[in-house]
Amino acid sequence: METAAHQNVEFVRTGYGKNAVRVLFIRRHGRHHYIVELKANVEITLNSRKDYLSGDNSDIIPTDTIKNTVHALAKIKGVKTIEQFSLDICHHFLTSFSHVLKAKVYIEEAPWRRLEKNGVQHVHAFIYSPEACRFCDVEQNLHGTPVLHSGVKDMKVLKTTQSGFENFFRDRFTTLQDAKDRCFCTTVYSRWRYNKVHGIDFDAAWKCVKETIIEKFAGPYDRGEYSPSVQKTLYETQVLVLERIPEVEEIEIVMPNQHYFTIDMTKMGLANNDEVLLPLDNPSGNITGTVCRKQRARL
Amino acid sequence: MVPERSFGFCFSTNNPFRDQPNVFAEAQEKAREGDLNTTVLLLEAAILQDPQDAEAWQLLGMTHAENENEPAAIVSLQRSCLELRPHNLPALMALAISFTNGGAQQEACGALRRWISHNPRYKDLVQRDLLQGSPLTPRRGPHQLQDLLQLFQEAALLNVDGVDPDLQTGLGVLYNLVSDYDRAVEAFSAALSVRPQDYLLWNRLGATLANGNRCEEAVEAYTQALELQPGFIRSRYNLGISCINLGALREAVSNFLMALNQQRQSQPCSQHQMSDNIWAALRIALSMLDRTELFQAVGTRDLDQLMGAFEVDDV
Repeated sequence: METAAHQNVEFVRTGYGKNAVRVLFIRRHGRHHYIVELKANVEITLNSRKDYLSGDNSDIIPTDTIKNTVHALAKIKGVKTIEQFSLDICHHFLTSFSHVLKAKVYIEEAPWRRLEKNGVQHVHAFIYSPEACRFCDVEQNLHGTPVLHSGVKDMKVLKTTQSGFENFFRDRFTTLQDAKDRCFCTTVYSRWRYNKVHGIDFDAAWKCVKETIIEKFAGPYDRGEYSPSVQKTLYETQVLVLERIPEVEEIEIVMPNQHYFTIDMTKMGLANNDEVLLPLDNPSGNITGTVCRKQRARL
Repeated sequence: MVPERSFGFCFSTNNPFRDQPNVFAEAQEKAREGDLNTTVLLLEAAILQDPQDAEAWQLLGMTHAENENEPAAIVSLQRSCLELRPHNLPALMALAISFTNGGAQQEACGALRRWISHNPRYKDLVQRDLLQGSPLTPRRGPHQLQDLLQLFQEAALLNVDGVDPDLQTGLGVLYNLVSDYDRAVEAFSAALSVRPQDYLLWNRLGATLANGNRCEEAVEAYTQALELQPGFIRSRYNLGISCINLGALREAVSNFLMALNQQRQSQPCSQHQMSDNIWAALRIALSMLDRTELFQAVGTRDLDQLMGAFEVDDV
């Protein structure tokens, strides 16, 4: 390549690693077995760019090694939660080498649910229950503190009433009618950041956020709770999460609005009273919001 | 470098003052000067010389709080000072405040209840209150806070010939816990009328005003505190937060950088360096300023780069 062309280019960022490293970790307590199955993406940034610049590979830790490392760390450190495991992976890459500047890990957990019947849990059998996907990510710089996020995604919920949308802004392109009573369907995505990494019960925190989202969406079981907009429900969920989990500093929620439209059957001589609806994949509304804990002054 | 563990707490190793005589007296002097880092080292030395020194533990706890290191403050005050001297009133009050800052309501109430029960001015009142109430132990839950507040209010009425600034501080803390910020302001103001040079009180007043959304008044109070004690890290941190709330983001960043710079002027052997929450607040201010290119410097704690970017001098 022309030397002149090199002079016109500078690095913005670099990073490389291995994606989709999968492991199933089993912990045996007598006949009672515990499992965590995960899929990890690991990316590291080195302190030199000679690999990119001149094809000098001497500093590159092969991505195959990165894969092996994930396997080995699962054996050496064990996997209790995906959060702790991602912290362990970052820590390893930043402390085992002198030339790694930054490490990033993203992990998704496979939703295995232990079989249970009449309150009795099975010792070692599970069923795949994808009602929600648990994930986490950690980013850490050399000599820095890790920044840890946990999240839930692909959690699809629907309610047939107690949702409306009216008194919105109208302009010449607005054709939408006010709705006092509509179906509300969404696939929730939420990601939150912790303000520390030690001494947190990650399982409990994740369960709490998931349940809070469902609680605010559904409302009391005998009558539900009216939602004047996705925005309002989303915000109230965030406030409740921050109240319930002091270790959460910031939370983002994304709720697409997956529309169901009442099919007009008048041409067939039928009066469809919002009984038969058409699920419409796209387009879908998309409502987002991120809030963080207000900084409190210290007495 | 393996940190020494005393009472489950990390002390700095290779403490240059370890074998020095009169370290406690010198610590008090350094505390007055506002050199918090050296104060901590001197107190650690005093404690290594005599682990039962309750006064040293107490001052250490309070210094950590001033230096915006709440976890260390709580450990110093709670594990050691109260184990050694269970009725130490200043330590109990400081502990209640540390718990309040961390949102540990029940623990804060516990400390305040112990404070008033062992206070010679009010123990009779507490006895009377216990005998009148039917349960032998204080009620748990939301009532516990209200009961305690009432007790402190009754105690305040006893002081016909003058304000008890410590009792008013307790009241201020309780009003903060129930989010009645206006009354909390009154309480701390009353305490300040007796002790106008007490920079800790000025900061407590400021923090109460800030948490009650009275930001400009908060800034005035912090400024008073910092004028009295320029090395008061906690107050500078609070000032930075109020600057954020007022939209004065560059001032916020300057304050955080100044505080962090003061904190790192410590001896190389010191285990305690800069406060995580000051770094976290700095990151928020940078995010609001849209200076996301500086996040890397925050991640690696490159204070020099950040100070250069905002033209903050190394004083």
